Amino acid sequence: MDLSRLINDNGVYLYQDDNFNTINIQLSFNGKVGNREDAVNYVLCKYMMQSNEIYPSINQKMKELYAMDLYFFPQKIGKTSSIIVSADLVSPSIVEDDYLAGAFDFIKNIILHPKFTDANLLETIKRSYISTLAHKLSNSNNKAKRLFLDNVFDDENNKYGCSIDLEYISSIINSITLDDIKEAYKNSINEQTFYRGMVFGNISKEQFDLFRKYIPYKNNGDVLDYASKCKIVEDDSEVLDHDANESILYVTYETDKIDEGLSKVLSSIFNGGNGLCHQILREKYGLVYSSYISIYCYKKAFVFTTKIDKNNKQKAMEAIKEIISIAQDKNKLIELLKFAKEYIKNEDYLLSEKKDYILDYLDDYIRGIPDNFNYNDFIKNIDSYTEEEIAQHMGTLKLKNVFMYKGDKNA
Amino acid sequence: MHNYKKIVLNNGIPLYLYNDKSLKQTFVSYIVKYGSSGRWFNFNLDGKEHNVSSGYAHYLEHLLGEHSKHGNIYTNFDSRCLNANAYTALDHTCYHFVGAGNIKKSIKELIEAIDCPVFDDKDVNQSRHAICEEASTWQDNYDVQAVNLVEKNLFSTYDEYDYTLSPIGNRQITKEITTQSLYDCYNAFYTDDNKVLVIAGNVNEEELVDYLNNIYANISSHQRRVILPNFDLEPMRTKEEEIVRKVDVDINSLGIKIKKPTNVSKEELVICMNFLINYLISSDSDFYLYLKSKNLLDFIYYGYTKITDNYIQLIHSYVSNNPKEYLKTARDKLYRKDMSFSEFEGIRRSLIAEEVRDCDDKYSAPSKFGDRLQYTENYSDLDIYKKITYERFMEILNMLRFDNYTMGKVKQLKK
Repeated sequence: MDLSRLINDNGVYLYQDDNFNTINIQLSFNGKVGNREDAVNYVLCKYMMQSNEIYPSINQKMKELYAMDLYFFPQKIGKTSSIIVSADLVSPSIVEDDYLAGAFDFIKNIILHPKFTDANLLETIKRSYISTLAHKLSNSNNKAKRLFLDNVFDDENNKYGCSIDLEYISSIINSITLDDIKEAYKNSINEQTFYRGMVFGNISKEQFDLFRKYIPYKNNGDVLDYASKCKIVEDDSEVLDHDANESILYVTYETDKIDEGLSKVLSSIFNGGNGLCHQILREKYGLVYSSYISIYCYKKAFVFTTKIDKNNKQKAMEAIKEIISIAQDKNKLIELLKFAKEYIKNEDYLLSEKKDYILDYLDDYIRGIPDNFNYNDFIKNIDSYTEEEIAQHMGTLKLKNVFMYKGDKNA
Repeated sequence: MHNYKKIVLNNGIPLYLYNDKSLKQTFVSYIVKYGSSGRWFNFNLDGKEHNVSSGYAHYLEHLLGEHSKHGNIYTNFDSRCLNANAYTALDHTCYHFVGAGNIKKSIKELIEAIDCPVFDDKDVNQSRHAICEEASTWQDNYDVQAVNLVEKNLFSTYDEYDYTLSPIGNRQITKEITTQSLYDCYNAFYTDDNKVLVIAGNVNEEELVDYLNNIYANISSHQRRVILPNFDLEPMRTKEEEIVRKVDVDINSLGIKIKKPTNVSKEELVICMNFLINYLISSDSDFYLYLKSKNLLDFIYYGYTKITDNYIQLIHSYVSNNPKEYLKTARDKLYRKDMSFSEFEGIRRSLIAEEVRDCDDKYSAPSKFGDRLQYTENYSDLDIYKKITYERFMEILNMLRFDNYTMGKVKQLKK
């Protein structure tokens, strides 16, 4: 990827790539944080897509615009909360119809002219929201992940517990009024709260300039505080679920400060078919179906996730210790690191063909988190990572939290 | 876009080749039309009756890839920076990989792994534990259970389908499967006339075909030894069934089965069914919004169509407070057959946009080919979407009868 091609127009970035058939637009606004605020943001996003002063049927208008895929959604990272407006348009060159001016006008009007008067619509959205959460909780994997995150981080602003407790979250959702969403709109979606935009895909510079005439927002200069001060809770606990069959073990270590680059190298060493997790936990001991690590850079957390038989917790713990001891031995890391570097370079080579990858990388890059991670510099310097450095870092790991979600259903 | 060329290899296996000079990676998938559904449970191999259950096709998928003459092919592929995996569906098993280097060597390994099995008791036991854990995960997936319940209701051969309604089987079945029974299934269904190879990439066609014919020339052929079941000849049936699970919300599924009209090509039917899916259950359809406003529907999370020689199936899953009323309203809507020109045009544009977006992901699109092979050899519908007229669509719609339907429900058990 050639990030030097990025054009920054007052906080709205353009990356042209005519290998694709579509144009992706993302606009980010700063929202309010908190359990109730999260629920209000969700309802606001859904509401704005269904009621507008200008269009009697938003739906019909989107179809006319070659089924523009436009949606609003809330996003939480660290201590921040954002409302994102995302649009996916078919490139006019594919459908041979120069409809972009109409599409940009539509996006502008959807942002600027919502109509907050339909109480029935609000009730429908709230009901659907509660059903969606209930449906998500029917999946034990979702439930386990939320329980784990609540258990492991001492972060009051980012509790998922409210969404596991259906009764509690339902009472919050049911109490949301039209005034609440009007207020949230007023406070969260305007020029002052706008902080970033991105336009990617099969779009010319002239078409981008046209877009900017309709959406002239500029970054107001605020830097969002992504870092979270939360700590890892020291604990060893289990949650028994009589409704689930599967069991999932989460083992969390605290690490020294870890940047995005090192995190990518470690992920390649531990994850994938040749990664340490799969090789030891599945191939050597046949203990698990799947296992991998996740690294939460801001929170200095290094987490093993394994789906295991509920009676095999101890064996899995021993295997994880073995994995860490391998990763602390620089001699054993030689081949693993060599492969990890090759894998990352290869991924970079292939990046130009995958739209989602490109969008994710551009998103991280533009966002500048953490520590202004620069993907180009990372690839350029990938060979500078050494076995000693990895082994030394792994030596800083301290076991902090063991959490087991135990499915106990006699199927 | 995605115009595949069909080339029949010397051993009869069809190769679907998508050659594109702009691609950096090559996508390869090897598909066997043998899956986890009940239609393959009973078979006669060399005069001996066999009776198996769900989970066998999936167990085979693990063994062939993980314990081949080349060892674990997924680990091998990973070490070459190729992204590889396999899955077992109700009606097929698919092994696939995508990447940029060592493609020929990897194709050879893949074919030899699938066509020259070497697994033994030790391998079967070694994989058992991981498969049991995977089975547990599937047993907790109630969305899949709801959809599979409808599939099960549609065909009488599915009656024996495992109670967990999982294509993976369950822990108990997994513990009991033997090496010999897996080889019996392999010999019955992994025959050359039941396989398909799909390759997309920047390749030299002539060289590739020679290379593939050479690989197969050194492998024993797999002739058909059983009568493959034709589930399409089974009579239609209407059945409602529910299973009770401890879930937080009822998950409903609805399947509509339609006798295929004559004088309509498969491609046109696929298009018409996609229009109907959009008309009825796409989250941006007016009907969907109407159902939501009437409190008949909370959301739909899954929908697809299947077209076979004799039937068309339209299946979807949804969450509703009032599934019976929802069914009645949906069927009334279908019976009225009153799609307006502007509705038709809106859906047409949506479908074009969907196709175009699919084509932006150059490799995941061909990976879906396995599903499509069940009913068409034409990969892309874009040209047909552009050409089909409102008049022709209404003509086909008026030939369809929506008499047979089936409902399934994963019902909430109050905690």
